Amino acid sequence: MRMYHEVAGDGGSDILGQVGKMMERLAGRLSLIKSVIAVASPKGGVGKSTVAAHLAASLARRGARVGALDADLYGSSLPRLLAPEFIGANATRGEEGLFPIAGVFGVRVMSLDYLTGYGARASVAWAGAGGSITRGPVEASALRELLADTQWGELDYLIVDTPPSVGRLGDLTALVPSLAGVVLVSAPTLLAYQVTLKSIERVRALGVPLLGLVENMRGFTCDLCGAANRINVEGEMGETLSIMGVPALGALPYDQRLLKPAGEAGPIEAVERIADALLAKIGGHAAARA
Amino acid sequence: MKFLCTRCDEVMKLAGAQAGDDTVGLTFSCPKCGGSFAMLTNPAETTLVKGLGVQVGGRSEPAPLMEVIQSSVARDTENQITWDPGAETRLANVPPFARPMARKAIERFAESKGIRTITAAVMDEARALM
Repeated sequence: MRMYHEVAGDGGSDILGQVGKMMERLAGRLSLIKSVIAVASPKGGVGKSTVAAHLAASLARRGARVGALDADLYGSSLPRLLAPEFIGANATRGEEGLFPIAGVFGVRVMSLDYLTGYGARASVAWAGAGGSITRGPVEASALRELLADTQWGELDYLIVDTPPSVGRLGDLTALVPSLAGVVLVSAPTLLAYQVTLKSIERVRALGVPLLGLVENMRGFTCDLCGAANRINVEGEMGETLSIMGVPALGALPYDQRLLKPAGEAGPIEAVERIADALLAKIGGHAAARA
Repeated sequence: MKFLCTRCDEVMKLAGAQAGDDTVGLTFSCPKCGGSFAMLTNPAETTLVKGLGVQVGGRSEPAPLMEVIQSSVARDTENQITWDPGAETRLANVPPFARPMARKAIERFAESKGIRTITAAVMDEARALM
């Protein structure tokens, strides 16, 4: 009896051909996008989606063509932060793909919320047997489809809000080898810092530029006396980061305006500074790649 | 995966595929001796292959948009509002930038009336009230 390599063909399903077609569709879509930027954190609840949404709005306010992809499949927040008028809307199908929802300043938003039919009522649940064995492939395919089957059009920036855990960044880097870089977000607690530090090597191992760190919830300014207060300060990260070669993109204070849909309260100085720093970094990386 | 006829050492050809609710039955036959067998996938195997976004037996048409998502999401059938093809066609006449808003408005109207399927008639009814 002949063995596998002695038999020509692949059994008739042309699996490699099918995968090739998927990747062609994705490559075609990505070819119209100048920079894909991932916003990531190893910890949940540090304000990753808030940073992603406000950065997207800031870039769009400056006139850039911006898309925002909610890759946090089970905890999507971008619809609420970037397109509050369309909570619960379903994406409309076009010839070439599904149209993203038009959010603030024209940010083109795509999320599973627009596809599941649950609206904002519930997180996605997957049908079918297999549990944890089948969940991984389905999640990776869902991310690929959100990227490839959305009619983004031409974009200057696509901001991807990733799920907690940088381990999941690998799904994105496998699909977008030209990722412009990763923005890490951390809260100023010792625990969040420690986990963030541990994740830096993991991000570097993926071979994507680490654009820098945003420290969220750094402190607040007292409305009565104007004093700037630091809270949750259990460790100083700046020096450690600098030793590890990770630039600080900036910090965001506790600010009521950040809790509102992005852009609603007008430009926020701290966000604008971070967007400036980010643009400077991407320009540098683009030059380095050229 | 390849299948060989052990009698003829010939590659078995895919002769047919039959989809069940969450299983697939694939029939292979030997082009030389005509011998055939069926491979039946269990629900977990079926979900796994579907989750990869590939189709056993190959594709003659490009993969539909958002195929894995649409086929893998557990449907909330009790609360879901569906659009029949006629209503979808009419909605396609609305300019793309206004479609989500129009869709949402009509779904909100349907929800308020306890309607679960949106038809062209429901759209007319909603428009009359707007």
